[in-house]
Amino acid sequence: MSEAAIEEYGMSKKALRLLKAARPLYKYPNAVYWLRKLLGDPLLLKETNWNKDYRFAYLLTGGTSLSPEDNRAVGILLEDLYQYLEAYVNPSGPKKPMIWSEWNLSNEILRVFDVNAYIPETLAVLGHLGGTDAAVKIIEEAENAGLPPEYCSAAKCAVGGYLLNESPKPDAIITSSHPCDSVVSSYQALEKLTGAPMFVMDTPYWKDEDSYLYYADQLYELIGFLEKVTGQKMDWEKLKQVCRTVNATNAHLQEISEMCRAVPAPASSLHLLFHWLGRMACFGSPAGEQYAKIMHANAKKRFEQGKGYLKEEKVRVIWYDVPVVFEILHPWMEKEFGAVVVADFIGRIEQFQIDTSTTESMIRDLAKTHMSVTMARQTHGPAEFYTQELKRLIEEYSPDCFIFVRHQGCKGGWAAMKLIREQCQKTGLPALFLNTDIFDRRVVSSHRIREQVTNFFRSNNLA
Amino acid sequence: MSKTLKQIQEIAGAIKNPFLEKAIAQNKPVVGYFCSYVPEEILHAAGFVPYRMRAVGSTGTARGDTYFTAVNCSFVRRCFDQVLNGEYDFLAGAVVLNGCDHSRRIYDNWRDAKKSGLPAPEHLFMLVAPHVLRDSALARYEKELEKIIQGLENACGTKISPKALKDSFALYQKRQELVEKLYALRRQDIPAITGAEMLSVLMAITAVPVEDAISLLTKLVAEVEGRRAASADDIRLMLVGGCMEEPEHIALIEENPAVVVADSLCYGARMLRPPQENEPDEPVAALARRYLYHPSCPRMINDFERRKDAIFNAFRESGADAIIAEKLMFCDLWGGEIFLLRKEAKERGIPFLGLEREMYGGGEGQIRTRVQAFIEQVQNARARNGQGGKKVV
Repeated sequence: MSEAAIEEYGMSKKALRLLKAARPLYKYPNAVYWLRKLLGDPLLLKETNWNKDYRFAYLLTGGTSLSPEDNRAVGILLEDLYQYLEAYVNPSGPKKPMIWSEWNLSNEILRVFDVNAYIPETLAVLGHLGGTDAAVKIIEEAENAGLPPEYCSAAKCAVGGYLLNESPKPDAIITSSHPCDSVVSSYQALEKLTGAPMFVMDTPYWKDEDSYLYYADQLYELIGFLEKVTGQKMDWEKLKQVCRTVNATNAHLQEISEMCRAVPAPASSLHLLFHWLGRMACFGSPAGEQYAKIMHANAKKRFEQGKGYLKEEKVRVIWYDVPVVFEILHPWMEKEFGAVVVADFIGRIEQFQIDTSTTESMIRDLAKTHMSVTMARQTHGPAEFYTQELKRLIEEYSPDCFIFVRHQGCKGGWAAMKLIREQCQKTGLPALFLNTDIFDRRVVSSHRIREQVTNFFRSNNLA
Repeated sequence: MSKTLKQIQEIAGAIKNPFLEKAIAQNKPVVGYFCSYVPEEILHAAGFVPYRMRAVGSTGTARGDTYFTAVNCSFVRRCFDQVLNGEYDFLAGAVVLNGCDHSRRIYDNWRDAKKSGLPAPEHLFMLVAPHVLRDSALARYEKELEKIIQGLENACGTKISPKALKDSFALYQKRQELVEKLYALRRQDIPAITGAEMLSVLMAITAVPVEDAISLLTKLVAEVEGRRAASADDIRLMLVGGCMEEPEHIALIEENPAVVVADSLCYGARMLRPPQENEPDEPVAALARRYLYHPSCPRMINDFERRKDAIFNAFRESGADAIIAEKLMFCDLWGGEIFLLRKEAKERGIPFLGLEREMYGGGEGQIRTRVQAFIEQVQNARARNGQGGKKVV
């Protein structure tokens, strides 16, 4: 085991310290805005020895792109993340069961129980708050232990984090059969390594009534499992409240997604990607709703005034498949090229509203929402789930170009590459296929990615 | 070498064979299928000849790579290459399974190829098998089988009767009993059949009509009984892994003083279903149970303990000395499984070698060296344990 294992939660503690320092600042969103301006992009967009420990945090929170109003929402989200980390790094009060939940599951039901939820893959994102190379250390730990290098880097972070003492010991694990084989396989490893009981949601292949019913039946089984491992009873009234929060959150985020069809776009996928992180860690939280509400109000105001999120929107990008998390490119693309990502694979919300009138309707609609969550929505079935959504985005979002991230771990995406490529070709839009990884900066360097994006924009007269 | 074994090796070495050609000449439609979760009995009862898809004789991936990429499984790329080359033009239909992220896309890509006028059968089906074992999943799988039955009935224009299903059930049960006999002959102190030969047998019997398979197996069992296919000093190996269809690869392992006496492979023990005592009253439900609960592969998320026990039980019963576990490159499922099995083997003090390779991808020299070194290690361990390099039976 490497040096980093000496301290329990070493990286999480580092991330926590950073968030702790940022918390008071976000009470003054205007000050944050001007501080960011003062620090300046030229210094922070490029990695140096002195900024490498907090550069990611700066990019993660939007660089200089966000307005003071948007910063207010980010502050709320950071507070939620702070609470999430604090719950397992410095637990206080009576001990609660620690339940691990796979990153593509929705955790409304888990939120009803009096438990601490931990999402192993969040370490792949939050780990970066511990410094530029933090996620790579976790990934290498997993590979050195014998995990296959071809696993998705998120799965390697989940296992590596446990091996490095970065994860709390679970009392139970819940996972699913989507979005990919890496999840299917890595959770078997986690179950064995931790010795915790595990419940698996078997995600149906199709999107039809039969499939929703099958999933809904499993939600009842999941509730039974959680009742057994926690010794608590399901509180249906509380679930109703959580579902209402989720409904409100999704409605706001979905409308932001829809408003991005306007030219100029009043928001970018960056606003939605922040929420993806918040969603993973703190799904169904009141703070998440608050974030969505503020971001929605800001976007709507700009939309009604006919203003764009960028002062001068020059290029509209559709970004498909996963983002590059180790090098959040949005602030740089916005500043350098006036390029705004108007629709993407991860941040964009396309959700059902949950009918909370009866237990049955709630569970039925929860099944639908679970199968429509980002990544699950596009990957749990035939290639049309990818390509039809992409087709719609191209038709509805007036894009100028298309950037597709070919993430090393996404074998199902690679296996449908011809179908995806053809969808782009039909439109005649310029397309860039970036061979990289979502979390692992060893695959392709940040410099090389930026070079490819720059050349792509320039050679297609977009810059 | 026995006459039947030679015949079997010829069948296993090519996509088509005389038995299949005879069936085609008699207007019996052939349906290709992927994976051991597709019940052959259903295809047979519908009047089709079930044919397990393979990449035998593959010479490249040029056409396959127009759909798949370098980070996809070499079996899928090679098999789909042959599809696009028209080598499977004799198929009337195909059943794809959501086995893994690579193979499930065959269904998508084949449909696209069909639209583009590339070689494709008339009927393409997707069978969805759950990734978990429990009652609700079993009920779901049964429904999926019913959907496939309906699709096949529409394709062949006739209804699959319960009697036809029961008859098919009996035929495949007979085939399984003969395969189990061969497995028993493998487990003998001096195995009657080598690992390479066994792989050929299992490939052959899934490429011919089941009636012919039974006839071949009956003759083979009679011919190899009493045969000595290895030496008493040979290291006895168990082979574990996913897709493997090259007998020459196992022969390369057995070039050493070693013989494969047990396995957990797709073309191997995972073809064997749990026993069925009586003739089933509800054949579809019985098939669903037998197929969902058959020895699983790592696509089944909540079944590692049962799978592991089955592997180590087979290891023990076969008197194996060591395990070689193999995966094809870019296979997450077997990558994770080997990680876990290695730990389990270590806890039990069982010598364990993990190999990664590309199907029909060469690299024999490297594999030969690694296997040779491993066999020597196992021999040395035996010698240190005072067995003088000889297996204590």
